[in-house]
Amino acid sequence: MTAVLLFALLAGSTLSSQTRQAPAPPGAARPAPSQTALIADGSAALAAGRRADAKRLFKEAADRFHSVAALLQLARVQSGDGDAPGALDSLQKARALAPNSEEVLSALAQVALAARLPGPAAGALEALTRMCPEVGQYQYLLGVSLMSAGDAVRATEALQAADRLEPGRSLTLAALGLALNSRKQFADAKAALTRSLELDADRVEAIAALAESEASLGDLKAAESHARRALDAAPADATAHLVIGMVRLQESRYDEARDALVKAAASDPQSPKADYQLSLVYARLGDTANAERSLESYRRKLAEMNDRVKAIRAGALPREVKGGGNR
Amino acid sequence: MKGLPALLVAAGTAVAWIQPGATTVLYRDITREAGITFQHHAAPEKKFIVESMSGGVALFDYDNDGRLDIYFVDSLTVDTANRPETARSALYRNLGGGKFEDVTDRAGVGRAGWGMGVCTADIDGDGWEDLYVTALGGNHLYRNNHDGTFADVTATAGVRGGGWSTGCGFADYDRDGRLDLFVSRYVKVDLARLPEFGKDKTCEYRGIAVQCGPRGLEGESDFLFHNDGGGRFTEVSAKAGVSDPRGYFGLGIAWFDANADGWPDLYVGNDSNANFLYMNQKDGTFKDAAFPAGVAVSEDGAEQGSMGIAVGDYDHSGRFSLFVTNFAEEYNALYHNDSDHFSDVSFRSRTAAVSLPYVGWGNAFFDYDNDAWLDLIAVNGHVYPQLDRARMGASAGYRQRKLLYHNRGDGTFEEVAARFGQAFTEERVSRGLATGDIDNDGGLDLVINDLDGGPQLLRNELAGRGHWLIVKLHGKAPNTDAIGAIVTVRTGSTTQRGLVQSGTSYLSQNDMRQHFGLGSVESVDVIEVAWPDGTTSRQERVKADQIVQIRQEAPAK
Repeated sequence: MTAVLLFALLAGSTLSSQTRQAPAPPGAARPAPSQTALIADGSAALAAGRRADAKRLFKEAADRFHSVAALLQLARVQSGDGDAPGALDSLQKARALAPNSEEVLSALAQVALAARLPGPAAGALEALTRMCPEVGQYQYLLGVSLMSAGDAVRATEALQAADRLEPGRSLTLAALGLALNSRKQFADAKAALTRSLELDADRVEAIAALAESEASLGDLKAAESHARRALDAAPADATAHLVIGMVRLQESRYDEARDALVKAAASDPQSPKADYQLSLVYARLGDTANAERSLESYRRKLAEMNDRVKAIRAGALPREVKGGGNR
Repeated sequence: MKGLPALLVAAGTAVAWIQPGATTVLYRDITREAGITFQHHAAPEKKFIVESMSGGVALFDYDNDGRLDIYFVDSLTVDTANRPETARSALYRNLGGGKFEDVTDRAGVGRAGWGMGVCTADIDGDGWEDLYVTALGGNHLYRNNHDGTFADVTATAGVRGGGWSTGCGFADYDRDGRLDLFVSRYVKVDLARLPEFGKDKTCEYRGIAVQCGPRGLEGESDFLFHNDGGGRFTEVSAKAGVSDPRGYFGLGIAWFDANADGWPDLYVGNDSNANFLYMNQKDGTFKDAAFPAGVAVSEDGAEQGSMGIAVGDYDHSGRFSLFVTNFAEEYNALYHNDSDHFSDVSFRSRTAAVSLPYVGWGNAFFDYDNDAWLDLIAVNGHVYPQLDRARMGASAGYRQRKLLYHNRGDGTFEEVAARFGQAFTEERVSRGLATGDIDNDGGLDLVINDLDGGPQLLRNELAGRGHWLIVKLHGKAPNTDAIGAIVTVRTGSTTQRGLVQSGTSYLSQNDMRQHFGLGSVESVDVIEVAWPDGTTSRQERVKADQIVQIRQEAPAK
């Protein structure tokens, strides 16, 4: 559920408008004539809509001259064609040639995030935040990547850094609230989300997350109010349905809790949270069969989620980014 | 208790007069002056998980002199595994006047091997407390010889167990009058083939190399030993449905009657797995109902690293709730007993948020200020010494302070450790915790076993505590401890309940006598005892500030 929300948050964010333009990588600064010609021909082919030719020419330039510029162009075309693995491969090669190129790292992060591969994205962004510690957007994106990779602790640190560097961004505060909710620091989450909504009152994911904070802190009235507001704007919002379900559960209104939680589970079928709450609700309704069915679903999704997090962590995350493996 | 401050009485709470920000001596560390020199042993680097999990502590009266004695569990290390003489668990006899004497060698209870936990009970109904020590590689049952010595009867009793045992507790689960024994177990360990420190992803934490496990290692099943009488037990866990065939990583345990049907149920805390709540089916079997009851995992369905278990009626609801300590960046869980299920009220009760940075171990419901409301304590300490050399995120360091929660009487708690000075704020690596009144003055004292270091004996020296009552039960043999009995104390509109338990907290044993804070009330209207066999006793108009002895054979006047 959190990953979906985070990528939704990302949709409102771009790197290019925020980040510095990097100097051209060494390979592109004084290219050999034939390399220049190949890249120029590739660019012309691309402009003419001959994407296959463009890719071939860029690839040839990259292979023959180890050209970072060519690899960047190739990755751009691959990404445009929906070939995220190909684009990532090209950018990883470019990174090997120019490990400190902000342009390469930035492109790598963007492609990885667009492909929902938070591991490689976090790796590139970790380097970018070291190279450009004053750029809040890199910290923000690093936070989102780490959150998606299941490392909420470091995600919080990155998002707090982003908030310090560029205060008053609703998007950053919303992501920070999500990260803090996932770490069960509900009071701090509530503060961040409230600030986010002061800046952008209509940010649905922040409204729903605020409802989650409030429900966990026992403020059921406020939680329901915010959850209803989120559902008015986004009727399928999984977090808001989950909050309504948890509020009703605490009120012992089990039929209504069940109905809300069924909607939460349908809205976010990968998350085990709603299934766990449903198992409790069915048990309290005396519906043993459905309680056990929900419990099995919860267990299966929990295992799948753990596998996904493991797979992400086994990817390109730098060692210092990886969370606890044994606990 | 004379001269209670008027403000205290009016406020109904013993900490109301403490100024915010002020440091008040509440508990004083008297370990050294008491003559306690015990040292727990563990390898400094804790490169293997077997070096991080010990050890428990017990408060019990082994010599029937009316004063609580102390047993500390010691452990070996991988390096000293073949030299068992290097670990020395210790029994300290309470001499009175705040002094203790090391009587380990005379008692013959010092060589328990790679010790983990401890629980006590009078297993043979002779009126003397026996001692059970869990360990890696075989547990020990020490039968009390009534003369200050114990005999190791493990082999004849059939309770050695084996593997890596952790928690233990006695209860009469089948109500045949004899005390049975549950033992939780943790991880399968082969000392000849230990997982290599930091070798893969299951051996790192926040990017640093640490000991491996428990995830990634094979867990062990649990034991239930049925007491057959005649000093013999039979292992019946599979038949009873509590064997844990999946091998969850079992640690703290607590026997208690979760649904008030008069039969003991069993809660088992598992590290990094869902916990168990075994409901007694009254036919010698149990059924795990932790998930439907809402006590298996966190509020949002996450498996937590559960360590210590405490049981108490903290809100005078008449039902026993659960307090469970967990790993860092999880939270200590307070599960309120709502009769037919539990609700996770951790955040609403304000016990959770402050616990997030800490790895919690020993814990207890206890009324430190005698205001008639059960407070909470959790002792903490990480498992990775390497943590201090790495970025910690939100986690506290390797050494950690304690958490002390004052019960506000409205279902919420306030964490107040910082107000009470060094005994609580000193950062240590604590494990076992036991509560009891070592000086019989009505104030609950604390004893804590630290990993790889000296313990703490903390004497309650809060001035102006409320009135109190301690109830010592003498059950019919063979359950002379009356383990499983519920003591109800009524004063005006207030009703408190206490449960006689063997083995709770983290691998530890609390004083089995039931302590009740009474606030400003100088006498108790009624004491009722629901004995484990279903009979009841009643005693009316009992003066406060005394230890009351109640015998099952002779019903109260």
